[in-house]
Amino acid sequence: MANELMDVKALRINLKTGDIKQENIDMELVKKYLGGRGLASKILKDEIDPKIDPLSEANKLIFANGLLTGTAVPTAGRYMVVTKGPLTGTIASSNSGGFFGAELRKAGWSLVIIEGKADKPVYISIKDSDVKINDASHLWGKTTDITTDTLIEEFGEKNAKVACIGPAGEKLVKFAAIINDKARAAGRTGVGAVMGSKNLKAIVVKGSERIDVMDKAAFMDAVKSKVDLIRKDPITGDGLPKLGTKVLDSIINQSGLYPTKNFQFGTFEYVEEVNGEALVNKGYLIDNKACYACPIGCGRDVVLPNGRKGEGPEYESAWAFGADCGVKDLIAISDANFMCNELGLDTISAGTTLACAMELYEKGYLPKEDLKDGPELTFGSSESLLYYLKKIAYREDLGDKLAEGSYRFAEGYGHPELSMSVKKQELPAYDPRGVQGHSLEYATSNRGGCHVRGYMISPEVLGVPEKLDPQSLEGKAGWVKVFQDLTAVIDSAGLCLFSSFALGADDYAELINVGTNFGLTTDEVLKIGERIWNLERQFNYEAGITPDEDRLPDRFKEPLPDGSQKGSFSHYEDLLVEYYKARGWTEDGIIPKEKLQELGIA
Amino acid sequence: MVRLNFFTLFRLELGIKSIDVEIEKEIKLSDLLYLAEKKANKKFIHKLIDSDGNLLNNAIILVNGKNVHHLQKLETIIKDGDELALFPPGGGG
Repeated sequence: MANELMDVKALRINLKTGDIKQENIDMELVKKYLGGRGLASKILKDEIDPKIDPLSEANKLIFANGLLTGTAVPTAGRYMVVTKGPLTGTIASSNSGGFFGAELRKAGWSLVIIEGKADKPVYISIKDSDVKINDASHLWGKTTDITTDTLIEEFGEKNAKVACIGPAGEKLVKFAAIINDKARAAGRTGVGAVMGSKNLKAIVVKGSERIDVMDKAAFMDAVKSKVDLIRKDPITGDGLPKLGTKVLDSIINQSGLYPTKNFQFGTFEYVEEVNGEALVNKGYLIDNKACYACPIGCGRDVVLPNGRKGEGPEYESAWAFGADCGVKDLIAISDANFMCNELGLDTISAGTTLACAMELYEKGYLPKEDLKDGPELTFGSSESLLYYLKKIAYREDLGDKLAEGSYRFAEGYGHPELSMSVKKQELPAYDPRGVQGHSLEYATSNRGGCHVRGYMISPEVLGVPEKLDPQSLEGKAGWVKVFQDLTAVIDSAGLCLFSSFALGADDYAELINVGTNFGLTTDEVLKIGERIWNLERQFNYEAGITPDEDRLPDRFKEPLPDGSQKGSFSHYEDLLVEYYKARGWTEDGIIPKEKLQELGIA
Repeated sequence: MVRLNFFTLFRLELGIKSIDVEIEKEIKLSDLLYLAEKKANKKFIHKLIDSDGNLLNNAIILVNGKNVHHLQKLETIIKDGDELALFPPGGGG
């Protein structure tokens, strides 16, 4: 079958009835939302009531390739999972790399829309247009690595790709991940729990058709020029391949923004034991790994002295189990990362939830008897990481409460203020007190606490595309808006956010245009991002998530006690008014009807 | 004495964790970097400064924790007892 970039097809699979349908997506809709995060969010908002229980049968789970996923465009291996999220109650979209998305696109599918709930555990197999729903009773309860190996063998295609849940998704852990290619995660927002709620264990896919574009020569010229830019850039061509995302540990710690012991401090005294340099110098790093069509190769191929091996740890994961939990044991930290991949857990929320529990325990709010036979939940306890991660995934003992995420956990012990979360999703590895634009980005993220909805660390700390003073408020609201809109474009095009260290909005517009007949200006491409951002925000509003939740934990109103940003605190509330204005919203943060109409949403 | 601490790829590729440079009086950052490069006998300035002598946007040089982009860039005055952190361009997330 022909597989054209301009031929966007969806599979609609109802797990309750067993119906499998093929749909062609209107290209005018693609021109408005591109694909991936944007297109899937539009479909979700059109098709479900935003007020539904995320773990009910009425929710839908959409696997969505970006417009360019599966092509030769550098980093075009990304897919997204879009649904209503159980952790936050907001729209949830979780992005992953590896090879699964590209394989799905090569099978002819840009979207897989999952509806209903199967009566018993099932998996979906896709071989081009041959799509089946299969019994997965024998896989239920299995970890993601075993599930993946088993399915590839059963499917009879050794190059097939698998996305699946582990025990955590089956047990509806609110921050369960979907794991593809064994080690890449659609990690955040609890999409794995929605998959589990549908009794869907996995999707296995094999595609056979490469994607054709209209003007192949022009397309490949554009591809080559962007690959060159990525290879020549010192971040994407040198730092990320050699040190991976853990290039950041030392930068962020020295900048006084490295959250330590549940965000009580901004520097970690043992950072030299756990940073990216240590991963190399201790001999744990074997090689770097790349996702589909990626010239960067930031993935880590690691073997630990205890024989355990896997991909990672990434910066965020290693921080969550390291500094945030006060743990300096790089072996235990790496092992915790591997364990999360196997059990199907989001590393950021898992680590930050444990850090929250440690603070509750040390302050006497979490009684010892609730730990049952488990180790003491004290900061620095590497033993407790591995013990409680298993308890969370299987919802045993205290793990059942921890599986609800840090907000509900801390609230249950009477101290929700000790949950370092926004809209009930745990914050990642940058203390917002020292970076005012990033602080605003956290507060306004449409999927709750998140660093990749508008990565203001890039200009405020890393000097890309230019260096902004992290403590200045001037112009930051506008910067956050542009970063959020551009990120929505990158996610919807199916490209990796890391490409943006080397590429700018003009480059993305060129790549989108060269593969299509859209003929969009850069401003029009950014308008697509704005449309997606507003659509997500409107979904949340209709779900009952009001602008009152554009807020950070009160801890960030207190000054940082240590490090180079000592004395700084977050001014995000001062920036919110300017931000709402820059977005064209009311001063209360509501999207007016005229704005929705202008963007073609209403 | 001024201490320069090296991180990330500098640490791995130069094989230097830190070096101390004696200064007789206050000096500009650019002068200190050339003194340090001479003392280390290893080239690293090209990863921080472009061929026209300008500090790269994404070079990270902290003086007592403050990024020199928000001080006086390469003209920043370094005093005895100051501590520097140097990183070639880096990013992740």
